[in-house]
Parts: sequence; C-alpha cells; structure tokens
Amino acid sequence: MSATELTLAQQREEDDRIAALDPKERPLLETPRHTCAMGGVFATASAIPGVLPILHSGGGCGWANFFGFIGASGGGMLGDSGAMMTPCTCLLEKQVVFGGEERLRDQIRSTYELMNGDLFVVTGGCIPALIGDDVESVVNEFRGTQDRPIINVKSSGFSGTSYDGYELFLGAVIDQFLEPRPVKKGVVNILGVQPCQQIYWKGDLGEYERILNSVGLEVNPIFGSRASVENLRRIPEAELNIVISPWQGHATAKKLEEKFGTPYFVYPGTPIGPIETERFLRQISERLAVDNEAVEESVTKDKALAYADFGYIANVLYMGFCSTPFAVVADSNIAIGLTRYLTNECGLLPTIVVVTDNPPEEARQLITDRLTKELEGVVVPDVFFENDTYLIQRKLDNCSFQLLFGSSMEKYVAGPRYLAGHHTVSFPAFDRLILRRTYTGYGGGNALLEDVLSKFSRPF
Amino acid sequence: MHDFLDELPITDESPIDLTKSTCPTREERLSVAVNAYYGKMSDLVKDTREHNVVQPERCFEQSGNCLLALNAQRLISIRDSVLLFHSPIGCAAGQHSSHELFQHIPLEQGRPADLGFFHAVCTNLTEKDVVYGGIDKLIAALKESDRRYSPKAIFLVTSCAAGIIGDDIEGAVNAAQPHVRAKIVPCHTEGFRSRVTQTGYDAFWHGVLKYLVKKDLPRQKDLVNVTNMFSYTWMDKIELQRLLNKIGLRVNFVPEFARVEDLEIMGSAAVTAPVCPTFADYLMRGLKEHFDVPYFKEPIPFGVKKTDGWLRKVAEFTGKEKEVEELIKEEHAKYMPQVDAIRAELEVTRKRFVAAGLKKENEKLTAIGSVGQGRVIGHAAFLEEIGMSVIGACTIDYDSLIADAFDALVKEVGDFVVLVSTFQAADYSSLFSRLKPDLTLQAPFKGSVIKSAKAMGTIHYLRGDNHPSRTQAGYAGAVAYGNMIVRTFKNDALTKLIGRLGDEPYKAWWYDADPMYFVKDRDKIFKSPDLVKIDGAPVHALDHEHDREHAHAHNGHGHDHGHSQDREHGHSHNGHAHDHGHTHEHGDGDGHTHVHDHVPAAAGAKENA
Repeated sequence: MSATELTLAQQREEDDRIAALDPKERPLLETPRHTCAMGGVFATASAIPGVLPILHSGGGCGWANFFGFIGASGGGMLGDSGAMMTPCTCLLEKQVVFGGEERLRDQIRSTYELMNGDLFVVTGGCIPALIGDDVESVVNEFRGTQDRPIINVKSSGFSGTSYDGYELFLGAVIDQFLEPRPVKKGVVNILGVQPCQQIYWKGDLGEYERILNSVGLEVNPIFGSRASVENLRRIPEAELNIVISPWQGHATAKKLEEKFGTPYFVYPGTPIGPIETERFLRQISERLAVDNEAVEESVTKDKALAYADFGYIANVLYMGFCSTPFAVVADSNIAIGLTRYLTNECGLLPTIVVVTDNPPEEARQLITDRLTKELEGVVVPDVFFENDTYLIQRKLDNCSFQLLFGSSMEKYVAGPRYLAGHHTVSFPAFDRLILRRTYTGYGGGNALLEDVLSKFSRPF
Repeated sequence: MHDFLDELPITDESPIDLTKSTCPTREERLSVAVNAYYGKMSDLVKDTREHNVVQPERCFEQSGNCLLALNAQRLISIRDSVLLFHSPIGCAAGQHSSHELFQHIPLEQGRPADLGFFHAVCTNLTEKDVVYGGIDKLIAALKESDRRYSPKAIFLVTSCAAGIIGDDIEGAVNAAQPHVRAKIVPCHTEGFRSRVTQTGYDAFWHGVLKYLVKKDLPRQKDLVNVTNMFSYTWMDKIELQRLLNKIGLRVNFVPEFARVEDLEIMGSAAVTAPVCPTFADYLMRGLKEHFDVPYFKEPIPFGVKKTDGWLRKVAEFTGKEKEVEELIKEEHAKYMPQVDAIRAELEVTRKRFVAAGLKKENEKLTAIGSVGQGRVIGHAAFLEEIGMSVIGACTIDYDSLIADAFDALVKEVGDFVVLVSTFQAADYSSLFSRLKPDLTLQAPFKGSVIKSAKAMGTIHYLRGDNHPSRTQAGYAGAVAYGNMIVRTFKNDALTKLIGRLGDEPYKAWWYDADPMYFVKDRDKIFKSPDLVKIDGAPVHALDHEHDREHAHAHNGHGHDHGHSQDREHGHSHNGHAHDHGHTHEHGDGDGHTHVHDHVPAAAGAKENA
C-alpha cells in the first residue's frame, strides 16, 4: 500500500488509525517533544551545580542530547557538567563484545582524579543495558570508600523517555544518597517542574519560591543555579512536597512519602495569572497552616500589582485580540496554565489543546478536566494527547485559530499553514533564550501578553 | 623537512565494493585511522608513513560523537527525503531542530522553497523491540515514511541498539522496497562501529553510490560535484557557485542543500571537487571507480591561495584553464586589496601587543584552530597567508587519507602541534592553556578553552548562516573570515568576563598536564616528553599574568585532591610521580612558561590494565 493509491479521506483515516495506537506500537515517531531516558537523567542531573553525570554509553549520546535536548530548551548549556565536558565512556565494538565494566571502572577513577564534583551520577545508555554490564557492581566498588558520593541510575535509551529520566534520577538519589533528617517546619520542596523539558523551569522555580516565601514558607531549591548537592541532602527536611504537575514528579513524591513520610500536595498545571495563583497559594496555605494574615496580605498586594500592570496593556489586548480563537501545543503543565489564563482572564477562545507530554492514562481525565471545566465563556477546547509532529499538524488542520501557542517546531507552519501568529511556550524552544522568564504567578500572565503582543501589536 | 619520507608512499587504495551492504570502517580500510594523538605534525606524518601510529586506549573520555549523530546532521538537509532513525528516540533528538535550520533564509537569497521542511522520523525502539527485534517496526516505518511525505528517498540510519539486537537491515529494506516508492538508502551508522566518526560518512556515501547514483547518464562536461559540509554556510554555497558560474560551470552541491536528484546525477559530472577531502573521500573514489568521474583531493577553497589552486584544479578537469586565469585575475583585483587591509589591520594589532609588552618585536600573532581534518589544511594555510603563525591545530580524527596534505602543509607553513581528539573538551582545555595562542579558534561548548583565551574567534559558521560576513569559502570567504579574525582582537571584554566566571570543571593541575595524560601506556605511545616545544614557537610575556591566575587557582582548589585515594584504586603513576606540589616552572622570569620539564607521567600503566 503506497501513498499514491490512497485518497485524501483514506489518508486521514490512516492518520487516525495510527494516532489511536499506543506510541510504542506505532510504526514511527516523528520529532516528539522528548528524548530518551538517559537524556532525561543527563539533563536533570546537570541542572544541579556540583552534580556530575558520567555517561556509560556510546560517544554520540551526549552530543545528541546536548544539542537536541539541553540546547533545545531555551538555554545554551547547563553549566559545565551538562555540556560536552560530561564524562562519557564512549563505548566501542570492543566493549560491545567483551563488556564495558572495565572501561567504566577506568572512567570513574579518572573522573575522580580530574573533575570537580560533589555527587557523581553514573547513567547508562543502550549499550550497557543490551550487553548486560553489571554497572551496579562497578559503582558499588566506588561507594563509601571515599568522600566522593556516587550513585547509579539504571537507565537506557530504549527503556523510557526523558520524562522517565527525571523520576529515575530522583529515585536513585532517594534510594542511594538521601538519609533521614529532622523535618523542619515551613520547608517545602517543589517537584514536577523538569529542567529542560519544561522550558521555563528556572523562572518557574524562582517564582514559586518568591510566592511561598511571601507567606513565610521556605523552598529548598533542588534545581537551578542556587541549588547544590547539600540541597539534595535537605530534601527529607521538607514538611510538604509540592508537586506541580498532573502526573510528573508523582512517583518521586510517593517514594519520598514511603521513605521519609513526607506528605505531598499536587497542583495540576502551572498557575498563570492572579486567579490561578491565588487558588494555588490558598490551597497550599491550608495544607501547611500558614498565618492567614500573611496570606491575605500577600494575595492582596500581588493581585493589585498584577492587575495594575495588566491595565497598561489591556487596551492592546482588547483592540488586537478580543475574543480571539487560539490553539495550544504544549506539555500538560503549560497547556493547563495557559488555556485557563487566556480563557478565564483574557476572554480568548480555546479551540484546540494538544497535550504533548504523553501523560499516563490515569492522569488524562484530570488533565482534560482542567482544560475543559470551570472555564469562562461557552467555548470548550478539543483536547488531544499527541506528541508526533506530523499527527499534531493533522489535528491542527481541522481547526481554526488565530494564535498558536506551541513549540518552535510549529513556528514555520503556523503562518503558511494556519495563518496564525505563533509563540513558543513549550519544548523545544530553538527560537528563544529563556533565563528568568516565567509565565508562572500573579504577573506571569502579563509576561505572556507582553511577549505575545510585542510580536503582533500594530500602530493605530 | 621530511623529504626522504616521500619515498614511503601511503598505499591505502582498496576498491569500493558496492556488492557489500556497507563500507569497511576507516580502521579496517586504512593503514592509519585514529582519534587520539598529540605531538608535532611532522612526527605524525612521519609515523604515518612508517605505519607507526598507534590508537591509544583512553582511561578518561568525555562526550564525543558517533557515526550516527554526525551523519544525521548532514543527511537531514537533503530536500525531498526522509531521514529515518532505526533507533531509540534519543538518537533522533539531535534533529529536533531540523525544521528551523534554513527557513529563516529569505527566498530572495536563493533558498529553494522546500529547503527547510525536513522530516526526521524514528522507529522509537523500546524494550519490547530490543527483545523481539525491530524488523517489523522498521518495515512499517519505511512504509509510513513513504505514506506521510512521498519522499524521493528515505535515508535509513542505524543505531547501536539496532546493531546489537542484530536486526537484518538489508532484509527489511528488501521487504519494504516493493511497497515504497521512495528509494531506500540504508546507512550503517551504528555508533560503536568505529572510533573514527568519518566512517559514518563513508557508510552514507556507500548507500548513495549503491542505491541512488544513476548509471549510464550522458556526461555533463560543465557539471562539477562539490561536496560540502554542514560547517559551510549558505553563503559559501553562493560564493562557490558564483565563482564556477563565472567560468561557465554549473555546481552540483552535495549533500547539504541537495535534492535527491542531485545525488542521482553525480555520476554524470565532469569532476568531483571537495571542500573537505576526507569527508568526501569514499564518494570520490566510488564515483571514479564505478562512474568514471575524476576527482582531486586538494587544495580546498579556503583562503586566497588555496582558492586559486582549487579553481585551477576544477578548470583542469573541465577544460577551463584559460577562463580560470582570467577569473583569478579579476577576483584578485577585487579581493586582494581587502586581504591586504586585513593583513595591515592584524599588523596594527600585533604592534599593539608589542607596545603592551605582550610580544617581542619580531614575533607574529599566533593562532590555534581547526575542527575536521580538512579545516586543518584550510585554517593553517590561510592564517599564514594573513600574516599569523599557526602554533597548533585540533582535528576530531586523523587518518592516512590526509597525510600527504599534512606533509605538504608542514613544508608550506612550518611545523606545529597537532591534537587529534574527538571533541574531548579536557584535551582542548589543556592544549590551549599550554600553548596560549593569541587567537583561539574553538567552539566554547567544547571545553573551557575560553578561560585561558586571549582572543576567541569563531571556529566555523553553520550552514544556516546567511549573512555575507559569514562566508568562509572562496575569495569572499577569505575576506569575511579574515575580517572576523580582525574583529576578534578589537574587544576582548567578553573573553575576559567568561574567563573570570567561576564554573570550573577540572582540577587545577590539569592545565599543566599533557592532553594525553589519561592515555594508557602514554609514555610508550607518545615518545617525546617535550611535546609542546616547537622550534621557533613564540612565547609571551602575557604568560606571567596567566601564571598568576593559575597559581591562584591552585591555591583556591587545594592541591591534595585525593591522590592517595586514587592510588588506592590502582592508579599508579609510573615515572616521576605526579606531584601536585608543582615543581614545574611557572613564571620563570624570561617569559618561558608552560613549557615544562615536568610532564606528568601517564596514568596509563594500570595494575589491572
């Protein structure tokens, strides 16, 4: 059966048939918005200053993930450890035939000798997993004998996605590195915001910290420039783990609850704009018995500022994009946050939301609810779960919208194909550099409008 | 300087056997093919002729590259094709950016409308597939690629995982081809196959020669195959096209920016002219052997002198000898004044360095650059052309294919240090820190070289660059690249700032170590202990400043970074012990620094090795 023999209708039928298959069962996957599990471990570990990954893999795995994952997340590199400086065993045929354990032993030893690091993280690619290297035993030889902690993250290229890599890394940290510590009142960890995979992670984490600080809570920073291996050690001190995602970070939170008894609280979707942010803060405050007065003061002050700022650009929004239909192609966190903000506060009309992070089946109803319920107006978006670039475009083909919030992969189709304005809000983000930029929080919606309207404002 | 060695020819002429499913690796095909070497260029060439170059085993490596990753970057830009990775998804992640490589180039600049809509698809091998085999999925993927995009060709690249599970690629191709209109071109690029990543290019060309190039096409006497790399830009294409068009020739650019048809007609061209000779080696030989298309390997069109030579070579094969002299005269009239201006500007810079006490009166500005083997030839000759002195070059791999060219280069510009290293960041850091060139040409992501740099320029531009200042090839390229170098010396604020930033991946001792420190049996493989002592190599008073910084860094990091612990793990240092108390002579008053009589012994001789 070749393409010429199919009518357009048959082509669309075939698209639908393939779209209905489990991604693992599909014949192919086209530029999805993730990489492999090892890539996820590599980037997640690299996002903590002082943590040094050691890749036990082929020589090109770091390259592909550096350019295609870390470099694709709106920021050049993640410190020296996340760049091409990452130690790697660069496995060859010799190791494929005779095993790679000796090569790994040499690599760990020489890495200790040469490179600075407070925690070394061995993470494996496809080759050691397929040839059956006993990585665990090799890493064990280096454990506890000296002042250089090392952990082994069981990963490979074929065993999962970069989303899994986040949980695999944190899981290994919990199992192999963390010790119980006395719980400190008012300390929280933030989970579910994956470095690189969520392109605004640096600014998002900073904003959560600012919001929670304002009511007297202390955030233990696990990722980003202020984090360190000591912050990893402090994870069990938290009174509560706050998981900001309808699905990601849940496995880690559960593990922490089992091991250290830390309860967790899930907020599904990035809170963007005053309404969602207030809701977020009030829910957390209830869980942690925060001083009511502090909450009221923080909410009042931050909301007033956000709406005052909004006032400066509300006219532009009204003149340019009043009741504008929009489409979203993004991971579940941003998809939920953005759809709710633009619909509930800006009066835009959500036509279609394509969720690209392939959430597990059990999380999909919650995500769909957050995308379709408690919305202002009468327009409810069609929700799809899809990460194949070709099939995403097929979904968009059937819709009409004027603004497309997606990844930079949609940049060059938005105009010619859909006559829509485009703005990058999700991975990959090759057309943006993102430092502290965030759409999270009271003023996050304003930042979003500032970015989007800057592109499309007209003189009048 | 090594004239007698010409009597030891390199005879690496094995036939291109297209009945095989893929090419041999460079290690199998050639007498020398390595990715680790540090020493004088003249020694490397000599050792090559004497078949005396050894591939060392490294104890320490960093993220490098592989046959698949480097190859995929090039194949993606072939228009009207699909690039299919038979791999887990991570191997394909490098092509997340493929849609955005060229679409910013305005159509007015000659970009074909379809250059940019690329398709990187992947069989997404999972746990189930590696257990039960990925063949069914591969066949389905080939069909689905064809259904989605109706491409002219599907370039199928294979991964480590596909290789280890033993998928029968040829079987899958044969099973799928009758159901697929696109020509399927399998390229065996399993990452572990070869440490010389150029084997990946050979694997690609093998597939192209075997499955795509059409036989028995009428000869097109005005058609020149130009094989270009992804580090040559849209502007380079425009420049080379401009030059060849002027003498009535048409250019068939492959594989970057090409259509599948451009690959199909390669067998009808008058000549194949390389931009990088080793990248295209397998193709050029194959086209000669199977399609009777002649080729030449050098020079390459980088710098004025070499562009002259490249054009003359092309003319020789196309009967344009007369026209080409006219062209060269015209081009020189236009561009030589600009090259002279670059030389003059660099002389001003040099004098500024002399006045500041950074150089002696008769010393040239020095540089280290290069990436691939081809660029070594290009960079070194051009830097000399504009009055600079090359004190070192880096190349990601080395094989005997380039040995004659390297030999000629040494005769042309003198000897210099060569570091062969596949993107090994620490090697670069050590090299640049030891040699301290005035001009550092290196990509910052490849190491913390910028931390010891005085002036850092762009090592190469990328294919999507479409500004005239980002031309590198031909005469316009000589001027644009030369001007980039001139600009590099005009403001070093960023270089200094980055140098001061705290992020420090390596322990301080590394910057005084040998780049091959972590090679097993280092002392046996790399004989001379004073590898960096090059006759006539200039030294800089500026070194004092760097030494102070180094001394500071040493104190800051502390010296006893656990070497007793290393020894516990059998990390014995033979020879004089690697004493971090620093017996080497820093800032010894006469400006001779970092030419140590203390070279740390190799970590090599492991008790368990």
